[in-house]
Amino acid sequence: MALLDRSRWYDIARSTNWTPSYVAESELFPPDQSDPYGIPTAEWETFDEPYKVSYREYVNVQREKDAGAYSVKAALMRSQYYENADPAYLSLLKMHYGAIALSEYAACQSDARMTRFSKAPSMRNMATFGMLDELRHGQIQLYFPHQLVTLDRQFDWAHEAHHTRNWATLAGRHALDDVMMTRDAMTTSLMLNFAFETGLTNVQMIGLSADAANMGDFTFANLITSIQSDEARHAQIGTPVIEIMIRNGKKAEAQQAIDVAFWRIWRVFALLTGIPMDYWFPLEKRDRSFKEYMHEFVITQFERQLLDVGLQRPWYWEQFLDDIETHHHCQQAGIWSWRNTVWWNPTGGLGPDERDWLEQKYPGWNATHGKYWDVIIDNLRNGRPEKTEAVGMPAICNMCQIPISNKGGTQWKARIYQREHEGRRYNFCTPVCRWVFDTEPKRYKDWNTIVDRLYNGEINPPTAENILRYMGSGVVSEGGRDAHGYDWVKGYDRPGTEAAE
Amino acid sequence: MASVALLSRLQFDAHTRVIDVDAKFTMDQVAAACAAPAVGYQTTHPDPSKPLRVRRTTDDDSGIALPRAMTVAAAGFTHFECVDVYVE
Amino acid sequence: MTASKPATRSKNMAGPLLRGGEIAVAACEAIQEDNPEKQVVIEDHRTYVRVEAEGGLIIRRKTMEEILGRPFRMQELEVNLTGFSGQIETDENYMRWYLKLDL
Repeated sequence: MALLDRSRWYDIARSTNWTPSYVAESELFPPDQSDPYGIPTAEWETFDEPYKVSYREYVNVQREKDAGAYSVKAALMRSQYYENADPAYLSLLKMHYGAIALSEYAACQSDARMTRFSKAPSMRNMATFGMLDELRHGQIQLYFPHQLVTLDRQFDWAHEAHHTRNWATLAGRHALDDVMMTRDAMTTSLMLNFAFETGLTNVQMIGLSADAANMGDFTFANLITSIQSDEARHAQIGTPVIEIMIRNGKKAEAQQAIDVAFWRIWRVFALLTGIPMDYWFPLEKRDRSFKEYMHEFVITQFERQLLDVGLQRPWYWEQFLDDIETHHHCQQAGIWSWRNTVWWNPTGGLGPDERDWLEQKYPGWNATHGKYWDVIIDNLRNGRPEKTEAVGMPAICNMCQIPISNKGGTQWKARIYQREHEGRRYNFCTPVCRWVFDTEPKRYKDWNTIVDRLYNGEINPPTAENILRYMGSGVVSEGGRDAHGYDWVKGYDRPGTEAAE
Repeated sequence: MASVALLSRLQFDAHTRVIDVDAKFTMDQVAAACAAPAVGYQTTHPDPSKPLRVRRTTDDDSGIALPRAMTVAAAGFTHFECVDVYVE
Repeated sequence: MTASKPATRSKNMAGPLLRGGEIAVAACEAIQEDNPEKQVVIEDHRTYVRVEAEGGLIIRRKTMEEILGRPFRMQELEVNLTGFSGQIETDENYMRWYLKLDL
């Protein structure tokens, strides 16, 4: 039997609002779960999603996507790719799966909240598909690394990371809980669908795929672009929410939600994406620098989309541009130095040629970040590898949960931005993280960073060994070490290199 | 013995650090404690010919170095107070 | 696949990002056919192809069917549509990427 064109029945099928008679509307849609902005239901009923799909189409297309991803995986398993892969590349996969797999399940809950509590019937419809998308992403990104656990126990973090108190997990979870898990349906959509999915997932899921393909890992390249094809659809839930909010005098509220979420996710994704792109891929496999991807997908593409839906670039845009030059470099250095705290094996990866590349992509790298590595390289070349392992603790940001660092060497940029609130002193990495706190101190004030936990008795005794155990390092798997056993330092033995005097 | 956790900004260091100092420590001892996990690990002494000084961190970097013999107790440092450790 | 790049990028570019492969090749051809008045810019990044033009682009189901030589449901493009610049409009018979503001 021939099918009716979708457009002939779609409007009827998605008009599912009714007038409640047994309960008040405020009970059916409690404002703190549905819409704290007080926009009339009739306005939400005008929600018209730009990217339409029917259930029949959805199921057909998703089946095809899954078939593609699984068949590529099955074909490449025969090549023993992972058994022979560069250990730094495997670290990228360990970090990715540990950070992302269970976050997808969390996103499934966020979409479920929109499905249940949105006053816009069309949004509920689209969020149902979004919910199923995230379920697929959770399952497939647990299934793919599962086969690798036998190869290397650190892959078990794909499943375990979110259940630990590892500092990197705390950073990711704090941001995602803020943006996806503890907001009403409309704010979740602004923060998750627009700021996060439209704004930042492209760099991880598309940009990284180009580098992964250069490494010959078509399984991963195919997987993440397949996931991103779902994101491209359900991210569109956010656009009509913004339009309706602007039309109803809530532009400032929409802008603030996006400014908060974009910054929060950026601080985490810079580590997840920026570090592997600029440090872990072998030089000849790097497609472009992280900064160049950020320019393509965020500074050009996302900024233009923001303007087009009637919003402005976030107020901290200049600080953000500076952070693109700084943040992930500092954290590559810090993570490598405190490598026994993480569940992957980062590589220093900084031979003379890699430094030239970084200097070219990030002018001034040698005079700032490079000075840090000069000390490390000197220690490694002179038989003091123990001095490359950090001692003590860095100060941690009370918002992003990431060590507070900035350009050093010939500059002195690392600075702690503090706020006194109800007798407690909070520390922030940037004025932006402090601003996020100021938008809603009540939301954030009771959280403790890993450093706070050393002083409030939660990590007891506060010894170096016990801190690692608390974070799951040495428990779920052994902690990180240099992926290449410091082999990358050998480049300096070559006459004429900067460090070979 | 009473101790306090300071947040240290060592000149030219990329990281800020949490440093436990004893109430009896002089500022010279504070500076040494702040330099200990950084210098030779991830950074160098900003100028080995000069002593490291300690001042309270301020937004405009206008703080004055505290006397080298002053103790932590006398300086009145409190939990998570930020200090700059630097050469003049 | 041909790649061309203008000297300076306009602020009003919009269009799809496609996963590299058979559908991307066909879609690039269809887009050029469906937007004869536009200068279509195609950047091939191996795992994804960025296809854009000033003010946006349209792709029609009918054109895809002619190029592929088989029936094509517009929704099938989603399998290979990893993202896009600008905004999107979807219909059974076409997909369109556009911008509301001219900057």
